[in-house]
Amino acid sequence: MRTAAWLSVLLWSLVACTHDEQPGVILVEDLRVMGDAATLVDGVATVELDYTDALDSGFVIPSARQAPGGAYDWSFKVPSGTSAQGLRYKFYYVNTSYRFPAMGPDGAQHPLAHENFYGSFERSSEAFRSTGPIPAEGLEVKERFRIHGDPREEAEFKDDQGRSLRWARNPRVGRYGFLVVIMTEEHFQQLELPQGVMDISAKQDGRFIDPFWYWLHGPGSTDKAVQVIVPEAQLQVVARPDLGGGIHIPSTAPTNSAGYTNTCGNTSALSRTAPFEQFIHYVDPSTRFANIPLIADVLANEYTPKDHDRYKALFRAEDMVTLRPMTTPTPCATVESDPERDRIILRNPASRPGDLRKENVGIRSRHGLAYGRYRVKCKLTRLLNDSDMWVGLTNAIWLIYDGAPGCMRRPCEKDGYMQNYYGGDDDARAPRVAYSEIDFEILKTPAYCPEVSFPPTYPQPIADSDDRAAWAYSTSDARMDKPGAITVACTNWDMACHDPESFGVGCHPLTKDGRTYLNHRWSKDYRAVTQKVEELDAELFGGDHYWFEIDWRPEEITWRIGPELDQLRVVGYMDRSITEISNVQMHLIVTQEYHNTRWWPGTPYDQGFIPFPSKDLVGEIMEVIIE
Amino acid sequence: MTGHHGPAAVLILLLFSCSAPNSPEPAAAGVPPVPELELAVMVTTDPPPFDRPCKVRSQVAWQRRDRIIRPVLHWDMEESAGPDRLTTTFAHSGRSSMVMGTDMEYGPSICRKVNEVADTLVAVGMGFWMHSSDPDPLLTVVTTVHRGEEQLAWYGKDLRATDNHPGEWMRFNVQHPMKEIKLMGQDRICCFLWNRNASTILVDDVDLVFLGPGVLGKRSGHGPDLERGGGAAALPFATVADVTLLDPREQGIHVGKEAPPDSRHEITIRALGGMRFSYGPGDAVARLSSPTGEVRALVRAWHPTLAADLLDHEQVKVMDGPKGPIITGFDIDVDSNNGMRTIAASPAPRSAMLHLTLPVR
Repeated sequence: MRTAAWLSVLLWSLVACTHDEQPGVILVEDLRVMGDAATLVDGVATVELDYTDALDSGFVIPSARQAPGGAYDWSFKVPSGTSAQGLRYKFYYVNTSYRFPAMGPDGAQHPLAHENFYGSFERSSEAFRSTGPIPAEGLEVKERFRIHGDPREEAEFKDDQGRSLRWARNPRVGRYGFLVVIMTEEHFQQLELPQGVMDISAKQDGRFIDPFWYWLHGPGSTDKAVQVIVPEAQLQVVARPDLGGGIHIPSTAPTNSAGYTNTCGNTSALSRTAPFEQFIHYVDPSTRFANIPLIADVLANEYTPKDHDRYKALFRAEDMVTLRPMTTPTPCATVESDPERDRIILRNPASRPGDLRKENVGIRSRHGLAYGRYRVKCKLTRLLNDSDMWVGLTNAIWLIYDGAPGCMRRPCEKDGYMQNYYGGDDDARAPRVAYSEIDFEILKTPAYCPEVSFPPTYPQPIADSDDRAAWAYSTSDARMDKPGAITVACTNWDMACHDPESFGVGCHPLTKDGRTYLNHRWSKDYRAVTQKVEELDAELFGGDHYWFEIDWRPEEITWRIGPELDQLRVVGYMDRSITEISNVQMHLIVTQEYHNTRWWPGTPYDQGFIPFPSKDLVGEIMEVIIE
Repeated sequence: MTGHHGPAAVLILLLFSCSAPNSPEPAAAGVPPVPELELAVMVTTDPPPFDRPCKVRSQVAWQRRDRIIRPVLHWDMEESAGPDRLTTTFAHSGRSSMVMGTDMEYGPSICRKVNEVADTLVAVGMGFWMHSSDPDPLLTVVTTVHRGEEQLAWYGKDLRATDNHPGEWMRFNVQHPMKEIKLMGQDRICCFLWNRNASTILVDDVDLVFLGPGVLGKRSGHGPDLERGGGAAALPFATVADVTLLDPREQGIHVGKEAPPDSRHEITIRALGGMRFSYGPGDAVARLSSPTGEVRALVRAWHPTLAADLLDHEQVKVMDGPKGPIITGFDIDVDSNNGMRTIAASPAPRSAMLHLTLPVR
C-alpha cells in the first residue's frame, strides 16, 4: 500500500516533490479507502448524487441506498511494535476538481484555499482519533467516512435554532481525493498543533486552515515524525437529476391548480423529491413594451422580415397592445415532467383572440451546487423561420444563485459589488452580495464586438407607405448578423466587481490557448460581461438534440456546445483576470423567454413587431449531467 | 475643424446613371454587381465623391409642414462629378470605391442642418466598408456639431489596430449620440473621415443616417394595456379563411401603365353583411367596420401560398368581390423628370379575393 500511496503522490501534482524526497516516518501500512483500490476503475470509484431527502439534509455521499450504513470503509494496519501508546490519526477528503490551489505563490496557504470543499470526521471539531495501545500482534484500524454538506459546520449555514443547514453548502460534484495523517501518541502530545488544524471548523486569524495545505505544503509537511498518506483511491461524484422525477410548484407561484398532474404540482411527495420546480420569472416593469395584436405562426413562415419592417413603420401606435412578458397563471400547464421518456417539456403557450400572450416558461433545479460542468441535452424551440424572421424568444440555459442562508460571494475588495440586479447605475455598492448568474442566452442579435462593426447602421424608418425604401430596417443591408444564424451570448454576472486585474469596459480581449475571446461590458458599473458567437439556428435547434455546457470553475468559466458530448466546442471563455467568478451555490435554469429588445441594442427585430404565437413553442430537456 | 464645414446640400432630383464606368479598367473579379435600382443617383452640392448619393435609399423623405426631412444617405461610390476620388482598383460592390490617399488627411465633409434630416435628432450613424493594407491606418470617423461659427461638439470613433483587418474589406460602423446637446434646427451636423496616418484607404457603400427617437412621421399613441386592463380591448384580426388568387390585369393594374391615384378605399363588403373595409395611404393593415362605423377587426391580407401580405405594396386597390374584398397590391415607379407615376414591374403586382371571417366577440 505504501508503494501505491507514493505513486499516487507522484501523480498528484503539487504534492509530489515534498513527500517523494522526504517521505518521513512509516507508521502504518495497507491503507485502504473504499475497499481495495485495485477493484476501482483506474483507482476511481464513481457515484451519483442521491437526490432522495437531499433537499432537507443536503447531499450525502454515499447515501444509505448506495453503501451499507451510508458510508464508505477505510482502514489501515499498524504493525506490531510501532508505538507502545498507540497512534493518533485523522482522515480528510477534498474536492480536487473545483478548488483553488492549496498553496499560494509565496508558499503560504492560497488566499482563497479556505473556500475549498474539504472535510474530515463527521463532527467537524473532532481532532485526531486514537488507536489506543497497540497489541503485540499489531492492529487493524477500521473506520468509515461519508461526505456531506457544510463539513466545517460553519456559523453562517445554521438556522435560527443553531441547526446546521447542510444543503446550504452541498458537496461539490467532481473528483475527491483523500489524506490520512498519522503520528504516535507521544508525538501528538508533544506537538502543539494550531487549533485550526485540530478542528477544521476553527479559524485562525479569521480564516480556516486548509489541511491539504498544512500537511502537504505547510508546517505539517516538514515534520518527519508524521506519516502523511495520499491514498491512490479517488471518488468521482456526478449529479444526474431525474427529469422524469416531477416538477414542484413553489409556494410563490399562482395558486390555480387546474394544471396539476401526478408529476407536477405541490403535493408533499413532489415537494420532498422533485428535482425541479417551475421557474416563475420575475418580470421587471422596465420590460414593458407595445406589441402588434397579430397572432401568427412565425415558424411556419406566416411572418417575414418585410412584414416586420412595414408594421414597424406603419402600424398605428393606438392599435398596439402594451404588455410585460407574462408568467403562467396556471402552474404545470406549460411545463411537463415525463417519467416515461425522462424528459421535461416546456411550452410557451399559443395565443388566442382575446388572450394575447408572450409568456415566459422555464424550470429550475432545486438543489444548489457550487461549481461543476453543467451539461444539458435539449431540443429547445427553433428561433428563426425560413425568411430569417425571429420568433422573439430567447432560449436560455443558465445558473442563478440559490439564495441559501450564508451563501454570499467572497468579498469584492476594491469597492464592492453593485448591490442589486435591477439597481441602475446609481446603485450602492456592497462588500458582499449573493446575486450570481452565468448564462447561455441564445437569440437573434448582432455581436457587440469588435467595436468597429457595432452598432449596425440601420436606416431611419419613415412612416411613408408610398415608398418601400422608407420602411427598410431588418431588410436593409446594414445587418451585421448572418442569415440563419442566431447569437449565443455567454455572460457572467459579476455585479461590476472591480477586483479583476484586467477588468475592462467596451470590447476587451482575453487570450486562452492561442484563441482570443472578445468580452464586452457597457460601462464600469455594468453588472455583467458578455461574449457572443454566431451559430446556425438549424444546427442548434433544428436537429434531434444539442448539448450545452457551462463549465464553472473557481478561476474560469468555459461555455461549450456541440451535437454530442464528445464533440463539444468552446464558444465562450472567461477567467478571474477579467471578471469575478462567483463562489456561491447556484441552481440550473432552462427557459424560453421573451425579452424587450431594448436589452439587446442592434437587434434587427423589434419585439413589439413580432406576432404573438399561434402555436405552442415547444422545447424539450432530455438530459442533465452535472459533473 | 472649421475647414470641414460643407455647404448645405441642395438637392437636385435628377437621374444619373452610375453604370457608366469612370475608368476603362475592368471591375475586379468577384465584385458583387450593383443592383439596377441602385444605379440611379441624386445630385447634391456635397463635395465629391459624396455628390451623388443613391436615389432609391437617399430620397426617402418625410414632409414636416414646410420642410422635407431626409434622414438617410447612401453612396455606392460609382458616380461623381469629381471622379478623381474614385478608383476601380478595388470595390466592395460595383466597380469603384472612394480612395483616401496619402494626400488626404481629412476626407470630404458631409454637412446637413438638423431640420433637414430629423424632427428630433437623437444620434448620427455612419457605416461604410473600408479596405487598407496599412496595419494601423489611424482612421477616425468624426461628427461635429456647429451653431453659426461655433463648434458645439466633436465626436470621434477610432479604428483600433486590433480591430483592423489589413488587405480585407471590413465594415466600420459608428453611432454618435446627440443627447448631450440641446440641438436647434439651424445647427449643422458634419461627418467626415480623419485619415490621421495619411494611409491609402478605400471606402465603399457608405451609409449616413440621422436617427430620431422612433419612426419618423409616425404618430405616437397608446393602445390597450393587457397588464393593467381598462380602456378599449385590443382590436382582433379577422380570419382570412381562404384566398383566391386573381390576375392583377383583370383589376386594371398593368405593369408600366400609369398608376391610379392613391387614395383611401372605403368599400362595402356584401359578403360580410355590409361591413365596411377601409384601407388607405399610411396604413399597415385594413380595418373592418360595422355599417354604423364601429371598428370590429383589423385585416392582414396574408396569402399562405405566396407567403406574403397583399397589402405589402406601396399602393393598393380594393374592390368588392362576390366572396369578399378583392385586393390588388402594386408598387410605383416615379419618373424624376416629369413626376409621372407608373405601375412597377418589381415587385410584381398581386391580386386576390379574401374570404374573411370576423372574430367572435
